Amino acid sequence: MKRKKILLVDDSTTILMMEKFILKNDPYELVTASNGAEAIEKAVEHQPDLILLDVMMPKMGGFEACRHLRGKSETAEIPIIMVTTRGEATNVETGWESGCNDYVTKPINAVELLAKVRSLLGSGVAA
Amino acid sequence: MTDQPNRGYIFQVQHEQQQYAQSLIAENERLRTLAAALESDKRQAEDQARAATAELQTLRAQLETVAAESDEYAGRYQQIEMQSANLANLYVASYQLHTSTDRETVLRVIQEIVVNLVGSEQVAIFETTDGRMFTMTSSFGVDASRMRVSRFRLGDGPIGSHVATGRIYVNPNAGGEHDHITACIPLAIGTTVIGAILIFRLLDHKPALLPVDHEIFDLLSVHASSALYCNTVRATLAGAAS
Repeated sequence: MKRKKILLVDDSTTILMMEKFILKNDPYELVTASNGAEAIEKAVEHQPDLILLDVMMPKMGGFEACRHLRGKSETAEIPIIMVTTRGEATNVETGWESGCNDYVTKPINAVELLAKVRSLLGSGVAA
Repeated sequence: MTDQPNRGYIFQVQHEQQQYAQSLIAENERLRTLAAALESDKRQAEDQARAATAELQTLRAQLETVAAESDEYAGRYQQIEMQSANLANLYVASYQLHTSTDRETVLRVIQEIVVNLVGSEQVAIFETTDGRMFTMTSSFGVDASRMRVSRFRLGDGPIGSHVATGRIYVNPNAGGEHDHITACIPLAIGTTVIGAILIFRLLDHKPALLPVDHEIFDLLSVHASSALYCNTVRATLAGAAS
């Protein structure tokens, strides 16, 4: 059985570690990237089933990375959850416009994140 | 002589009547037996119906109990997931602080913990070299030039007084505007206060502090201070050696 793959993108090692802790009990394979440009490269290379994408990052932010991912045929269909410190309507709207499927706010609520990931990925095991 | 045929006829009728009566009695008896059997069947069926109804009610009650238990377990599972995440928060914070190998990284990690795990984008870290005057050495989201308190003396003013107690101060009305302190966390090595973390406004979508935030404050108070102290000493020693 092939495990579903999640690409975690954040410049903060604290957040990456936190996300790994939250997701490690489910049968997902986790890949990490620390900025938008690296996220695009790793998404093309690893073809993840889901991307958790931070908004504020150096080199390339989450919104721009999301637009790039949607523009590439290899990554256009990958579900993306934006991770943002700002939950204001304008920020969330920018996320939807850039093509994300959902978003979570920091500090990350583990139960909320797991529910959203499970909702987009199902059992965690690819058919 | 004329009576003879009539008598024969009468006997015949009487005989037929007797036979008919006997057959009626026999039929009546058969029907009575049948009615009794049906009555017995009916009582048995009623008993079975009552038993089935009782069993149905028991099953319904069991189903309700199982559904309630299932809800309770789902709730408990969610609580455990939350507690596990809270523990992970503390572990990650502690791990990040103690794997930092220089002062700048420790200061950055403290900011990351406050921003990403507590949920505030306004944090200032103060340190002291003489144990009396505290100066802001690092901040995030705080306009230092507009800040009313960029240095304070231990025991002076509201901040200096909070820090002097060595105890964590948490504003009961946390979530206020800029410059209103949400929490003041003294950084102490033993009984010596070497610094303080001031946390100002919480993020808009975080209306109040959670129990785990208080635990993170406790952790920062002890572990951030030791990480900062160790790396400051290390930097001093490295500077002296070079």
